[in-house]
Amino acid sequence: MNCQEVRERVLGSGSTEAAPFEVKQHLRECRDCALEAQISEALLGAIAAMETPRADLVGAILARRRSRASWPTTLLQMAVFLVLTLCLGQLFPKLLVWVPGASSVDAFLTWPIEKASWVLAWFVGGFDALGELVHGYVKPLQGGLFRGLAGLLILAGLNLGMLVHSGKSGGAA
Amino acid sequence: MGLATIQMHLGQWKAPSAPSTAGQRVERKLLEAAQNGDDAAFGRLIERHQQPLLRYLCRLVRRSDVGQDLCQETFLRAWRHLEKLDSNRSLAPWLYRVATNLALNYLERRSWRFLPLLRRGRDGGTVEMEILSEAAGADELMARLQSIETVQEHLEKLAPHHRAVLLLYYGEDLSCRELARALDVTESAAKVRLFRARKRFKTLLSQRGDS
Repeated sequence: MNCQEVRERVLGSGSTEAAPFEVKQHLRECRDCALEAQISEALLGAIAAMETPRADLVGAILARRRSRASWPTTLLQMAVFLVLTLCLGQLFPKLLVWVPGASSVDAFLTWPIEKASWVLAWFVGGFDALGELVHGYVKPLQGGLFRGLAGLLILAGLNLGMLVHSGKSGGAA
Repeated sequence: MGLATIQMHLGQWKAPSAPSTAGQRVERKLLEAAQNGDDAAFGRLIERHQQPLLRYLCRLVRRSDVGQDLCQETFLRAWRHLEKLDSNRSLAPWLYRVATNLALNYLERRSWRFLPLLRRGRDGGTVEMEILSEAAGADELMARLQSIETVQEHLEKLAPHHRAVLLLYYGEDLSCRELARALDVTESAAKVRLFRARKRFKTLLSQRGDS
């Protein structure tokens, strides 16, 4: 029996226990074949010994599937996001008077980058909501709304920082 | 031993599963029912496949919480593509394919985020740092194979795409044909991948000074 025949009969199963006598004999004589067989056995044993958790995911999957996005929910989400953006857009400049070092409310309102970033933030939230619709189900944390709001807050912080910086350095754009 | 010979061996390692067993007939009926909008049938399909899939994913990504998320995502994708699934073919390889892609994408993103120092392979996956050392002899290699911990440790050092192949073949007991479907490649390409993964594992195992 040659190496080729032995490997055909033994290696795939990963076990040499049930192999015929001539195969076992060959494995005793041929170190290459013995090593290949042992690699298979070791892989089978090591993988089988890996810890694996058990979980019942049926309920969670069906729940996520049922709460899938639809046009009305997407439009509602986008509308809520638009209103929130507008409210924040109105509120934010008014808060600036309390911030020491900010140049002026007027400068903030006329700053094109600021406007562009608000629009960008809205698109992040809005498109995310649309993405969920295309995706077919709602992602965790109602994805778009939360991510959009987080984006808005980050942009607000950045805008504020830049405004404070421009005020200190002698005037806004 | 040449690659062609190894491929031939691998092809004969496991016979392809029988085309129609009782389990497959049940699965076909469940899939058809799910395709007709039967939620309970889809739930039973999840029940049938969730444990093997979860086990595979947890072993591949090595985090049970991420494994559960990816498992859910896999079934949600199955639900989205329910109409396109062929009820005459086993669902498992298709699920493994989606799960593998999701897991490799996750590991890829994680490697960019947390492991920037690892070199990146041509195929986008991370590759292990080569350790320039003398290879261990056959006796030493055989001794290392005796320890489950050592084998597991070296399995974890493999690139994710190699680990996925070994986990599917040895852990999930897929035939080469099923492995090919799970990897979305031809049967001969699946055999080549299996051969390369084994070879890589053997190389890592034979490196002195890292075990």
